[in-house]
Amino acid sequence: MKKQIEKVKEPASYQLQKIIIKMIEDGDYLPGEKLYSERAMASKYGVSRMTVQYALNELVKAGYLYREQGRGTFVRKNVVDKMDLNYLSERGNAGITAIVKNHGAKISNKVLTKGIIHGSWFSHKLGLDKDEPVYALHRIRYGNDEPIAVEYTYVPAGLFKEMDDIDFEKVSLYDYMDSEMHMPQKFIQKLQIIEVTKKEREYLELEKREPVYYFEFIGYDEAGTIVEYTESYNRCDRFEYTFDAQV
Amino acid sequence: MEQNIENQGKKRVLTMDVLLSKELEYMLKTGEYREGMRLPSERQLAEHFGVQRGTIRSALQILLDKGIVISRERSGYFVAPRRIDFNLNAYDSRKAVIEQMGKSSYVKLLTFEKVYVSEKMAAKTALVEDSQVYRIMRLRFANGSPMALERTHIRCDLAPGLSEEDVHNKSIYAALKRKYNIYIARSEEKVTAVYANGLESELLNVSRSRPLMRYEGLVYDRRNRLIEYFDDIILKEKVQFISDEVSGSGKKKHMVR
Repeated sequence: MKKQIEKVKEPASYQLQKIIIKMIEDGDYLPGEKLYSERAMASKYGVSRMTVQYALNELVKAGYLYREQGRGTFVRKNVVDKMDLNYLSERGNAGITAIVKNHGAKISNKVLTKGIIHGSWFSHKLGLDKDEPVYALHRIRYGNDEPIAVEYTYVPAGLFKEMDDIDFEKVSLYDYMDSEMHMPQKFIQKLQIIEVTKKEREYLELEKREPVYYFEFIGYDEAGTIVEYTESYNRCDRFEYTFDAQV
Repeated sequence: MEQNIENQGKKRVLTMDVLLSKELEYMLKTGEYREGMRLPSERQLAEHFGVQRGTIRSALQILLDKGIVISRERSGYFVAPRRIDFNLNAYDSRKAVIEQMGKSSYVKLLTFEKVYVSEKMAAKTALVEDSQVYRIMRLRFANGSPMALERTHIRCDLAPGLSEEDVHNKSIYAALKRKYNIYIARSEEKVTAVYANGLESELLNVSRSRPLMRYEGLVYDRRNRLIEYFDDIILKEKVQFISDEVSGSGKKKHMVR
């Protein structure tokens, strides 16, 4: 299990960070477990104590580890560590369920409200006539029982007839849309950072008016029909939004 | 003129203020409301939508919180300044994007220096430790007020002799193309929220507790060479990121049914 840090290529502290992250991900270090002392790690990996310190600091900042005064450095418990929020990337939108699952966290949902509504904004976004019914589904998404996102989703009620009968605390919306052959495949999206709004702050259990990611996206199925309009508030401390851009 | 909003059925799916806030958003979007324009009064809006004034007020509060409208003491509600769109599918110069929106753009060079990449910088950016980079710090203004602190690190070996004149109120990418035949092709980027530090709060003219947007990225050219690492601090109210990959035919085709 001993890994020596190579002197070439990447900086030592970065290599060390990667080793520790891998050990956490592989379960070699368990949540709450204490790490070796800085001195022990320095000699184990053949690097300076400064390098170890720097690597640990970075991992504390990134939310993988935490420190306790006088006791040492520990693996964070219940880590829903920052999930890569690839919403806007061309890889498309796998949905929060998939993102969270890839991270090994337990996802759960609370349905705030659901049902048929009418409204100019929603029908406009969904490309429907003004009088066509829209189905609203508002959910809080939890990762390992911590709220991570509030999602207000609107779908054309005409395309999804069984919304009322499905328990969206158990079934993923995208699984249902997929079963109806209207899985969203492509998205137009918008991202802002805003200070969390009143209701959403309560749902996300934030102590103060912290900044959150605010997304709006419109999803198209394979045939190019608009099947979803969603407004999503995501915690900045639980998600990190990265993307690859290309010309 | 009257346009009633009712909740359907027995069960109330959305509260009235939420529904109404979306109707107002629709009105602002489809009506002739441009940034800075004043909204009708609460009383007029209440009449128009056939609701209580209190409901209108809480709907407007939602729009205020989301930064869609702003309010001025005693004079009412106004359409908030439009955000500048950063398009993920194009490396348009920011100047062009800002000017397209009818705003003036200016970027002031603050510092221009040649430095060695530190271990810390190397660890997070894939720039090679101890190699030389131009560290350039500029302050971007839109319509005369500061909007972003733009910091970048450009590899000296690929752009030898890059000068202050090349980057003062000019596009760096244009200079790279013209002088060094470097064509920007792709980037790996990250958007996060941060709180202003001393320098940032001073330059951007905000208090230190204000959250800001941090926009970082590694930029590669057509030959897949790493060209720069940028790290911008932006006033979060001023911008939004958009991706319009299906906007062309897709969107239009399905909007007009």
